[in-house]
Amino acid sequence: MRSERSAKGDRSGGMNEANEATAMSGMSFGRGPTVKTLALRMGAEPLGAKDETLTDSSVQILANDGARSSAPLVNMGDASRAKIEIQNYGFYNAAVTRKAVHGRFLDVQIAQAELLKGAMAHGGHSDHDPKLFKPTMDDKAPFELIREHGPDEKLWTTIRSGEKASFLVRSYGAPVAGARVTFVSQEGWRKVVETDANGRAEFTLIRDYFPDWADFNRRHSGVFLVWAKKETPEAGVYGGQDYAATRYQASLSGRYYPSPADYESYGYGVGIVVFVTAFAGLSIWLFRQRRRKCFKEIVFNEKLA
Amino acid sequence: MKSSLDGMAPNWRQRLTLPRGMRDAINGVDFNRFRFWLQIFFFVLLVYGGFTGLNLGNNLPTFSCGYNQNGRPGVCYLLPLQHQLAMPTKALLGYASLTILSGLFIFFLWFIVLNKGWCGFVCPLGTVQDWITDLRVKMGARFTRYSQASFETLSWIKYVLLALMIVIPLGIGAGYFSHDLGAPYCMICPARLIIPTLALNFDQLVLDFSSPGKIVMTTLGAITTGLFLAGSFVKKRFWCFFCPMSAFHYLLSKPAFFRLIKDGDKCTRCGDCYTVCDLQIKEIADDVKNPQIMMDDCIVCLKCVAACPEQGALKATFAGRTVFESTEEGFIKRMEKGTRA
Amino acid sequence: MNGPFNSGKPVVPEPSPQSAGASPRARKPKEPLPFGKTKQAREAEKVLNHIVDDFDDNPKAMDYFYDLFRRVYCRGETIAPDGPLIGTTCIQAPEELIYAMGATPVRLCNGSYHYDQIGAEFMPSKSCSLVKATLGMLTSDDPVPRVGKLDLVVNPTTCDQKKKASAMMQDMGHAVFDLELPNVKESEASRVYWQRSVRSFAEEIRKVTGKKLTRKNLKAALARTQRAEKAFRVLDGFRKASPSIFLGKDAFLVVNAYFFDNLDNWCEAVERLNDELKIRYDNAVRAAQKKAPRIVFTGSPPIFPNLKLPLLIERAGGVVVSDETCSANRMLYDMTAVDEWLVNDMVDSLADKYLKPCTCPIFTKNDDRRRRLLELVKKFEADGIVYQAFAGCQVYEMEQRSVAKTLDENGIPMLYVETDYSPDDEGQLSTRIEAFLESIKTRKRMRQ
Ligand code: SF4
Ligand code: SF4
Ligand code: SF4
Repeated sequence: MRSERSAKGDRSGGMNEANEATAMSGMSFGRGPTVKTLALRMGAEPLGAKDETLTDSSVQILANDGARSSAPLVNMGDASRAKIEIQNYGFYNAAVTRKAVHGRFLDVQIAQAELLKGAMAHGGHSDHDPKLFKPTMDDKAPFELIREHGPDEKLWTTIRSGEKASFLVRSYGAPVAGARVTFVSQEGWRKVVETDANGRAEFTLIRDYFPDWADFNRRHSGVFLVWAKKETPEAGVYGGQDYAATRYQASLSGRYYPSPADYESYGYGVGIVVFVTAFAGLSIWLFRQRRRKCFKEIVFNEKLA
Repeated sequence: MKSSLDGMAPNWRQRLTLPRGMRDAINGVDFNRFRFWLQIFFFVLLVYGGFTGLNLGNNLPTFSCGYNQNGRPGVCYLLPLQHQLAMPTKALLGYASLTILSGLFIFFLWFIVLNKGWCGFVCPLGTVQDWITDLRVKMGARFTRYSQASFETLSWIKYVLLALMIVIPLGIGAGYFSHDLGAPYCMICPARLIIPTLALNFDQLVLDFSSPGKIVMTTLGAITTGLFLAGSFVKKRFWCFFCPMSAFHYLLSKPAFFRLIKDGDKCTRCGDCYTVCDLQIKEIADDVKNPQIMMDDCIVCLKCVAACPEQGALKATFAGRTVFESTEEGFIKRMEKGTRA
Repeated sequence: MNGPFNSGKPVVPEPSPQSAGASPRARKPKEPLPFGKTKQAREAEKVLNHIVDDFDDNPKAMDYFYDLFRRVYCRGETIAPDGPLIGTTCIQAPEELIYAMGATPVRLCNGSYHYDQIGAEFMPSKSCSLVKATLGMLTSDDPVPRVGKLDLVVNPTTCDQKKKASAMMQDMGHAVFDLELPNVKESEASRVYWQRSVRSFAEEIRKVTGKKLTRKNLKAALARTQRAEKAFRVLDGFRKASPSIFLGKDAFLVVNAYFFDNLDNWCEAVERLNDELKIRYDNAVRAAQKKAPRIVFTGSPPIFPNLKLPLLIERAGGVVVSDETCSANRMLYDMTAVDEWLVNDMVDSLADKYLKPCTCPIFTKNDDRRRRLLELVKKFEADGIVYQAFAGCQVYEMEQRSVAKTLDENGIPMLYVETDYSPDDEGQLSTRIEAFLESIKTRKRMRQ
């Protein structure tokens, strides 16, 4: 099997991102712009991806209001990094494109990342325009891979294993049918499907986090990697080389968390409520019965008649 | 009822307020029914209002539970307050102090309008307790009272909970406690389990096994909820007695607009008000010296005003104006309805 | 300031010449006299005639009460009770419970001098006329009001004399239930204790009537007394009118009738009276002089036929506009509030009504009584207070000092009168009352 070349924006640096507090406390601490750092990596599996450098390139950013901007991709030794400032709440798309002609093909590789300036449900800005909750799409992009948002996804994103994740493949705003979409979980589980007529591909995020209970961390996040490929008969010249067809490949990464079902139990929760209610109720009843004896409490019958 | 020579000794203050007919209508109202419907209105507003997109902000002085993500039209202040206090100590002393102060200020503005009337009329958890009480009455079970001694001891619990609710988040921020103890009061608040459930969101009913802290807190939450259900079946407004929001309210209540006022001279100490008081507040009947009779446990439900037979002995005022006061006629009407039912 | 009014010499009743020797004869008449000729009937008749004839313009609706007293006290007619008859010796016995379980209460507190003399046999010489008269009545074969055979006597443990009377009544052959009343009413413990007492009282009545206390019958009973209390409050409201449209002697008579009258008849009669008073009020019909001193009556309860003191006041040109006595205001003024209309809650609420607002002097503290007097003076725009203490009623005698002090501090004149059921001191009392009323008038004039 030949190695897949892919690029992705990585957020695993966690600490150098300004949004670490949002997941925890539900407060948006950062007043003013949020700064996100993107790293360019390449590999066929999330854990195995290596830093990659790209010279003379920049990250193209599309805001949810349609505004476009770009940020330089800075090379630091063996790695390329981009620092992106986000002013307003909402989802942003960042993309780095690399083109090269191999044989009769033009390979267009697009490393995409979804950026969010978010706010949590409570204690935050629940008064945001629902338009902000939608993924940002680029109708001018020749090829793009978009993660669809769930109905409860507002200005935060929590994808959990066990849930379904679905992706759209689009070209100039139109759905691309028949594109091959590959999904790889952090531990390397992978699945390939083709997009349907709506350009949609759906995966179930299978659980792949199995630590000892003592090490279990409900905020453990895994990185998934997904890429879409499609060959088109677009021909042309690039960098002085002719090509007869174009191979598009767009990649996207994201994080997912353990499913609450792994650590939450309705049975125990409701069980305790019921048990305590019954126990306390019984105690009160017995207490009342006992009072009747000990003090000879006189109690009247409430029944009519 | 025939005239008892109203207006023989007209009170100058009364003349300044509403026209007589309207005042009589208000004072003679079937108060418990009125309150029942008003509570339903607020219950629907605070538990389901969010589905209409209503948003009243995050500083509400009542249990508009934040965990009821879609139904709530605004958030109970205790949740953001605990989150804010759990910020890193450095942040807390810096820019975050402004966040906290401004939140507190908005909370305070909301609060002073109704005073603890938020509890007597608005709080959905209070309303749920009243419904459980109604259920008990329907089933013909009698209620329980605390003995005076237990009352006095238990009365402190709400202050202890309030203190813990502030100290634990501060400790989290300072790094002493795990974030798993975040929002500690919310974790043990029965409203967290009950209010979202009533909005068909069952997420809070779980026991969280992900860490020891979570296990403890979610277990405590389930236990308090069990106690709440059993307790409020036999004790009227069981939870209010322990509620840190109630303690918090009381500490801020001095400048409130809405007040419960007693004219001790007119009081015969008949104890009627005490008899009907859900919170077993003895002072409402026995204290004839203090006109500001709202005690710390009081929820300003005004049941006492409706059950006082002495003209003007108890009243509710808004910014100094009487809005509802005890009257002989009103009392008789209400009690006649009781014996007829 | 209050010197002349309350420092009157205690009036020691002359030992009545007949009191010792006459009673055995009265108790066992060889040949019963026709009722109208008996001493108690003549005593009642005399007072009733005075009440009816010596005042002008009595309300028409009062005829019911005049007639009632004539029938019961002068002609010896019986008011037939519904079910068993339960005598009470104090307002503290919750009559709603009695009605609920199908019995009829009758208040045994008696105001007759004749029975006072008979009862003297049971008590030390200087004892309360009321207790003596009650014992005297209970021991006679032909008592008035003609209560018939009592199925139970409820004796709340109030003052010492009533407490000790319990055993005496038992010796006379009555079934007596001691309803335990606490001496302190402020504490929660006493409230709970009293609620328990009231519960055992209810059990006791159940034994007598064989009927259970249910939500339905208790509610119905509450509705009945509620109607009476409402009628009373309306009547009470008319007494606020200034100048007065209704006299205190009639008010006492109306409430005294409540002791033994059929509850529903009584309510109807009072409602009729209220209708008439409303018309009187609208037409500004006066029952007293415009400047008549307005008096609040307090202390030992005036009970027909012993309306001596109120009658003396009103003969002398004053009006009794209100009172703080257990034979009138205190009996019907307070109303029960119930939160949950369940038997248990209703009984507790009732218990509260009987204990908490009570201003009886047998309790340790009397703050409530003093506050009540001040409030009554204010509400009824009264000019002064007449304080009656039955010679031998220690508790009222002992409270005189503190009440006088409070009233003095508030600039309210008080006349303290120690008396009993004997008519002997009438002349002397009337002089003192006239002087008191005169001084009030002078004060009023000075103030203008
Ligand atoms: S005291 Fe009762 S009514 Fe008030 S906030 Fe607490 S639970 Fe709600
Ligand atoms: S009900 Fe009214 S008169 Fe009675 S104790 Fe309460 S405030 Fe006083
Ligand atoms: S004192 Fe009055 S307003 Fe306060 S809780 Fe009791 S009944 Fe309600």
